[in-house]
Amino acid sequence: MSTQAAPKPPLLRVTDLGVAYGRVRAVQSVSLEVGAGEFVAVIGSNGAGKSSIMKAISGVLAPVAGRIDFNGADVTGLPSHRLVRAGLAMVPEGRQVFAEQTVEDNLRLGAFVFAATPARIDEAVERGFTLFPRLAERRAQAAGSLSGGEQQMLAIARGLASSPKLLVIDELSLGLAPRVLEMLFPVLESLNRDGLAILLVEQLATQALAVSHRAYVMETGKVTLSGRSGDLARDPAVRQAYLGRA
Amino acid sequence: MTLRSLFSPGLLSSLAVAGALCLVPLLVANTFQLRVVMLFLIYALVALGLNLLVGLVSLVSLGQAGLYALGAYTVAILATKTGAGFFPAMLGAMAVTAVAGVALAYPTVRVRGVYLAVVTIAFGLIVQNVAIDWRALTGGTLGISNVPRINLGAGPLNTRDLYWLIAAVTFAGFVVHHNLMHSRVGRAMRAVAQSETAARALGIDPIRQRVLAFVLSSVFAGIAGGLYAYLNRYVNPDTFSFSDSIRFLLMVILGGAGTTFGPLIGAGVLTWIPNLLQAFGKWQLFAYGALLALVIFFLPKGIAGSVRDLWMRLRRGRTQVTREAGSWPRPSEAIDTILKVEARVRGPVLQTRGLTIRFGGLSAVSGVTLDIERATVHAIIGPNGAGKTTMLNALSGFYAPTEGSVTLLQDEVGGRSSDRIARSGLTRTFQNTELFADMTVEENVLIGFHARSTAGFLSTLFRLPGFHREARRQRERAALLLDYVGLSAYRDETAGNLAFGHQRRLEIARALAMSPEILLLDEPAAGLTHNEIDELIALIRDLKRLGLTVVLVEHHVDMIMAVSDHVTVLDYGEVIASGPPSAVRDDPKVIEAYFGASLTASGESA
Repeated sequence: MSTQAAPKPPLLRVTDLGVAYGRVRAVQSVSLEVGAGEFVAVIGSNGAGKSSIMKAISGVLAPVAGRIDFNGADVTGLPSHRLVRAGLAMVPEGRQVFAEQTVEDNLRLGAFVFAATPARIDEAVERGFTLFPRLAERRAQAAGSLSGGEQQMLAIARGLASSPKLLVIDELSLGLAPRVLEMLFPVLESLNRDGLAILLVEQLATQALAVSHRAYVMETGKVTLSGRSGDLARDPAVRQAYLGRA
Repeated sequence: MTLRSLFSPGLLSSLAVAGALCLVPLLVANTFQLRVVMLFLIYALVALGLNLLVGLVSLVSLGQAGLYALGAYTVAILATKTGAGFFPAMLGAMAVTAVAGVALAYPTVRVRGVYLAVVTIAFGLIVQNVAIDWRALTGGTLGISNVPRINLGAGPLNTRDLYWLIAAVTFAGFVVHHNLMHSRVGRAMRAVAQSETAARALGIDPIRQRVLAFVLSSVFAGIAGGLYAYLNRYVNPDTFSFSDSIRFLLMVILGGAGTTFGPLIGAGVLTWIPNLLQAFGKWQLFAYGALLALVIFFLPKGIAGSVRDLWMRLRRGRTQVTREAGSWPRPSEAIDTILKVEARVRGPVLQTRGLTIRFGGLSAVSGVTLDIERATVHAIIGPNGAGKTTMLNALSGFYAPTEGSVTLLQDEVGGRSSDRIARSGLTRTFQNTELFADMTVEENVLIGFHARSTAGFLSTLFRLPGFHREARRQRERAALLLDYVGLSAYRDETAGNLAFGHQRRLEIARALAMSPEILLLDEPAAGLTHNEIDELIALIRDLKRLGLTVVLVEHHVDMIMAVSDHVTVLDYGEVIASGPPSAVRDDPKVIEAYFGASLTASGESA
């Protein structure tokens, strides 16, 4: 190994990102990083700009300023389908499964971009069923008929079907019962242990800080705090504002 | 937009149109040119009517030529066979086309989009074929000639007088069209086009709005057809073909659907451009097609729509602004008077007895009996898929009970439509929020007032004094409600651009605009932070203080415990526990089915 090797660049690096809807600026100038295999959370109140950042990172919305690098390449403004091919998959807010297609077809669609051969698509689908056996029981059912928790499992499994390096999840907990969350968070942790980098946007700050390595706290379009999740969970200001206890 | 900017541009544009119409006879040299202007005015009238359909309720008609033909033939037949004068003949044309409009609106109960387009095409073809084959009445392919000149009492009108008459009618059509677009009726129509579900929850009957739009657009076409019969003094089936229907639709799209001036611009372009393109000789039709394709490609919102967008962008400049929501709720005496509920009946406000909802063989809700007391917070909880949202849908009339009953304010409402239930005092929000995403924040709240508005339809069309008074009062109240939920800063922003949690607040403000007695909230805390949930709890308590009854479906355990008076737990569609929160929380069955072990021991509810 070379002795003067530069430190490896992070998997995802967002630099001075700005996002706007028309003339309303939702994100001011945000920089954040996710290293390979890292689990990073973004927390903050509504309107802080968390989802807007996720939309920009996943190519749904073109940023008005700044730069996004993924896996060593500038991907600013690339459309979502190209990003998925590059290894960045998204689990969107509100799940957005293809409601009228079957569970299995949803997974096949997730694998489609990545794996051109039928064998690899089958393999990706089976991986999803192994991860969430509940989905295997319902493989021929229309995705829209699943309960909220099962739809979230499907959305995650569909995102994973493209074998991404980074999974971006917007609001994992939205509308899910406590029991389902109790099951989903450990799944994310184990995926992360197996090497998947995860960027999670979450309103339930307690859980988000418990599962992630590092976290960013956002307020009105800016990052106001960042650091190791354990430290943030002990920070009095964070506890007061986001954890519901002083 | 302020009140002034809402009305003065309307006045200015009306004056501009009236001025232009007065100038025409001075500028036009000969009778032939004047006739072309009159044809343009008649086309414009059809396009204005069609714009009400396309621009407001987002329905596409490719049968407008059929309605235009009905108007023309009705006038021609009444005038030649019965000797009817101008007014009776025109009233006849309006009546016939109004009936046809109702008939055409009927399929929209079931079909939209492409299917509806096919239905309207069929209608146009039927009218044209009846005109060809019912020779005794219509004269067949030869048509009806010798339609008498209009005589308003002082002898037959000459061409110049006829111009003034047609100009006056089209001008009136323009004013009615403008007034409707910028009124609560127009707003309700746009709301129906964007989210039928939300419109119903706010007491707006979508079928009624669509029928109204269809009838108005048909009558506009009928009047235009009648004027055409008088102008041409001869009608035959060739004038009312399918390609004419396409041309009318093109006028609307090219000019800019949903804009005030679009139909006039579109009709003007399509009346004169073919003449101007004669220089292209045999390439004329090709040039015409190419021009249309280019305009639609580069100006997808039509000419008027694109100009409007450009103007807005220039006016706002490039400066970017940030918006911040205020804290909520912000109670005030003014809000209290809007929302305060007077108890009109005693006993539970909402009851179910043996309520069962079955989809195919699957029971989503089975045998649920509930009593919800006035001015309480009643939570319905349970695992995902337990039937909670189905319950809310049944209570709010989106599903009819398969078995059992729903009683609202001592009134049996099982099977009643959701918009009627909303008007009876029960409204709701939705799990994934159902806003009118393309409208502004303020407009969303204003639609909440629609069902409680008193200014009538005629008052709206002709802007009688009561209309302005009510519009002003509703805007004041909307400002109060937006302040109540802390969204005043976002008043003029597009609702769809709000953060998810702010969309929830807006949805609540919009529901409160209806002054409901009972409010159903479907997972209002989803997507909110701890601080915001505390604020939501304060809001629910404030609503309870004002006498509202709140039914809450929620997963956030802390919140349920903090705010509810009564908790009902569903599992697999059945009630497994019901009682005060503390009792339900310790129920082993509920812990097993719902809370799970660790979350009750620590986590969220610690």
